Amino acid sequence: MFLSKAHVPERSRTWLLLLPLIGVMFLATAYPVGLIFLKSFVLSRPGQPATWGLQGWIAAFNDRALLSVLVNTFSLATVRIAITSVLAIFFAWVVTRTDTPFKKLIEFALWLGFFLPLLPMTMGWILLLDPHIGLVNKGLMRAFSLAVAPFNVFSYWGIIWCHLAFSTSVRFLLIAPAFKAMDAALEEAAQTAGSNTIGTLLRITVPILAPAILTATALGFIKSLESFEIELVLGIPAGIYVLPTRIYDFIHWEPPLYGQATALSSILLVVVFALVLLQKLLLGRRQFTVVTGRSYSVRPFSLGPWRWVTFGFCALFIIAMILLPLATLVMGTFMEVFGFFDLAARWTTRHWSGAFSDPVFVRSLVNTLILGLGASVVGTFFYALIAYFIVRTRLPGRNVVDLLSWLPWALPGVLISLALLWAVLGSGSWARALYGTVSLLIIAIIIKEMPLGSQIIKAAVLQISQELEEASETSGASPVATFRRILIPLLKPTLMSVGIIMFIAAVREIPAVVFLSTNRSRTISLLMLDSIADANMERAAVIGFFIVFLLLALLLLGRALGFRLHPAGGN
Amino acid sequence: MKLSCHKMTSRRFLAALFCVALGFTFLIRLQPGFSQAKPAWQEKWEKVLAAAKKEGTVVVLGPPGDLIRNAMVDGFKKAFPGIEVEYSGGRSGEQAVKLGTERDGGLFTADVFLGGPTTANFQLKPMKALDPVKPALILPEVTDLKYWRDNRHDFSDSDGLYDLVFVGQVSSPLIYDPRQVKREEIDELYELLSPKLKGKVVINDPLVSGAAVPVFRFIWEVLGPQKAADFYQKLRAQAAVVDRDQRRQIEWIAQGKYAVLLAPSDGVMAQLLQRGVKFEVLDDFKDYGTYIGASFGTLMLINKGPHPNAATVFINWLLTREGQIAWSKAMNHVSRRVDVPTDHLYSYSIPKPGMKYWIGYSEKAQTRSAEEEKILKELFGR
Repeated sequence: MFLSKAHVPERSRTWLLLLPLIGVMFLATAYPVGLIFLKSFVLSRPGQPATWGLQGWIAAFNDRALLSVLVNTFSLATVRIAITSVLAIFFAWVVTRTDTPFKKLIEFALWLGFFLPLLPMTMGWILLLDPHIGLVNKGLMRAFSLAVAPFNVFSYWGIIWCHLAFSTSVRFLLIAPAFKAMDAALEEAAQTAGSNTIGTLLRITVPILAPAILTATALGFIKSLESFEIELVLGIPAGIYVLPTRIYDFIHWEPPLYGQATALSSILLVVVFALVLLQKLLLGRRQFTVVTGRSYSVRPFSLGPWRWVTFGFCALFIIAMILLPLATLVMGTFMEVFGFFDLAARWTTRHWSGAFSDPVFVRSLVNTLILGLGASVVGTFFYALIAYFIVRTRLPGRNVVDLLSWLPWALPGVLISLALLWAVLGSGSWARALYGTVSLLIIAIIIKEMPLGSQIIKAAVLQISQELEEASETSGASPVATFRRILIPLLKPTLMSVGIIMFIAAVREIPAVVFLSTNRSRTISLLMLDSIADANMERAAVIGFFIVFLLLALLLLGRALGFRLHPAGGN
Repeated sequence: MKLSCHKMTSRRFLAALFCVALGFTFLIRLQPGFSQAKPAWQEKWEKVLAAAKKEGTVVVLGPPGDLIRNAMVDGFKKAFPGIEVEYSGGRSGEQAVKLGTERDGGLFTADVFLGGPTTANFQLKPMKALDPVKPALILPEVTDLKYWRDNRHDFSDSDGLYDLVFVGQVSSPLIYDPRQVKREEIDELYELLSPKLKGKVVINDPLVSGAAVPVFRFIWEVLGPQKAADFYQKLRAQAAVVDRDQRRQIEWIAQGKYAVLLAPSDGVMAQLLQRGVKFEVLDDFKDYGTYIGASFGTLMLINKGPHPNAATVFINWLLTREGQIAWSKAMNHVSRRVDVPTDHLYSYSIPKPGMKYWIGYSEKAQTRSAEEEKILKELFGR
């Protein structure tokens, strides 16, 4: 509806409020990204007179292995997104629209899948599925007298397998709010007309939720292209290289080859813009309003005895994909050396005691909490403004803002961090004052997660009928009051989800803040990086767990305080 | 009699003179402000120390890990309670990039850089961020060359000014699994090409910074370009895996997954051995020997730093016996100071007297020729 008749805020103060947003967006996205692309043409080393040229770009694209790297990158991303999208739609449907038992537990476990640190979890999978020492492999070989290990985690499918829990959880969190917001009357009508459960899901539910599903798919696809931790650990021994591991190579060269890294990142930029255009083409002429002024039904679908089948599948996924590697990893943190069962002193608590007795731990924890809270509150509000600006106004520049909101995903986090460092230190004393403060880290996280946050909210705004806002304005409310009193309450579950996702992203983030933090603003995740760089993976895993516990504790505290912090929270 | 009387007078005169001189000296000593002339170093040290206490802090960029961070912070604080160490650990390359950007933006936040010679020579020196180290060395136990191996301070940079090397340890070229291969089967360089080892060798990636860079430089230097190029090609064909996770590749050998690892990381190796992980270390090749590396053990004085006096005090402390023991224990490194005990270290890392080693940390040794770079990229590039 909004596309056929977009709303035009007439009052000049709305203009005044929203137009600076374009400036802020330029400053936050185009300026640092432009800066890093500009610097990719610098050939001279730091401290020497600048010379310019295309050599970095030529070297990056002259790589004879680039084609196979691109094939690997797109193939892994496509297969992964296909599998995890189906799984996420299924879980979202189970949790929000069916009477499957223990739905809250299932949802909680999927949140847990999102919290878990990727690198330590991959260590857990290696301990289970390594063809040489993997416990599952050893068990199966012994049980069935096999000569060869049945699984090899260091493989194409090993990489996809290790991504499943996290990627499915992320996609679930992105689409679950939209599922919850849908009026069940539409599905009931389909059922009355003779459609079965699966038919209703595929012909009614999924098409109506196309904006949320497509946004989640586009976001997930780009995120998959960017993913590198698991590929780095599992791919390299198998000879599987992807674009992010090549970029990582250039960044960790000494001296780092940022020009070449940026040149390769331009491929991501092209993909991002292509996906944005594709999404616009697919959604452009259709209407997706599911939240209107009428009351609507949220009655769950009765699955009958099949509800135990859906529960069984969810339980199996959660146990196999989340709890099993998690338990292995917990066990590993109590081992002297992770995965070595034959040492004389194989069990220890010193990794835990060492992590918590570190004198910088408390200061890092305080910084982390400030960072998480700041990024969550400010980021969510900022993204809501962006979404409103893009979807509900006809102000000039809204398409540019839409495009700019995707831009941060065209660069790996570490390059965003470097670009922001250049931007802040090269922009006068007012900006330089930010350096070394947690505020700068908050800005970095808000920029880095902008595509995710703004697109989720944008998809949710698309689902809300504009009649509600028109009614508010007809009753004399200003656009600001309408935004605050109509749109924000209707978007509350989505905003809560985005707020939590932002908090989690901020607490876990390493690459985007690595150049911006100092001793004063060090966070827990950077303490974890310190342990990883020191090859102390047991300590890194302990800190990773602490982050999970911290997030879970805050989530439970939030619930205890009465916030509905889960994505399935109703309107 | 006359003579004896004269003698008596002379003696009395001398005694009186002695007493007067003694009394005069005593009186002078009582004067306020009197002090015995101090050695020049001490006067300089006292001045620097007083100024350092006023500065109150020294900002040190160094290797990652809580062990080294705590060793530096606590050790220095114990020796100089009035001065705090603000220690930032991380990858040397990343720290150098950050430092360079800060300086471009007019921020000068760091005083001392402790890191590998690659970062010193290929990042910090070109950005003109370093001051000569020698003028900052004050304490006699630091400046006196008798305390240092070969009676000299060693520098990695070809100017011999900016990057003082305080660690010099034997870098083992390989580790192996004794269940799969015997020592005498791999203790010569060319034995790595034995058909028996085909598919059982892991190579630490020489294209990323780390322990493999000096090992491949060493092979290139000792064999010469032609033989080395041929050796590299055959070695690449032997390899089961080229990996860059420096811990995992050592664990693979300990777990028996592969037989030999070429170019293991010294630091990670020592860490895992200490924790009870079992594998065998080859000290050197019987035919070509091995090389001396510095790992993270070189120091640089950052110019325009905010706390130049505290930096001087820190550098002097680090190079004392006490400072070097703290470093050596935290990092498992062999100090170039000859009075630092080595009983906590593994014997393979301690240079053997009389044995000739190739020096792997010098700027010249670390610089690859274009030909070598091309061959490595062809063989190990993806």
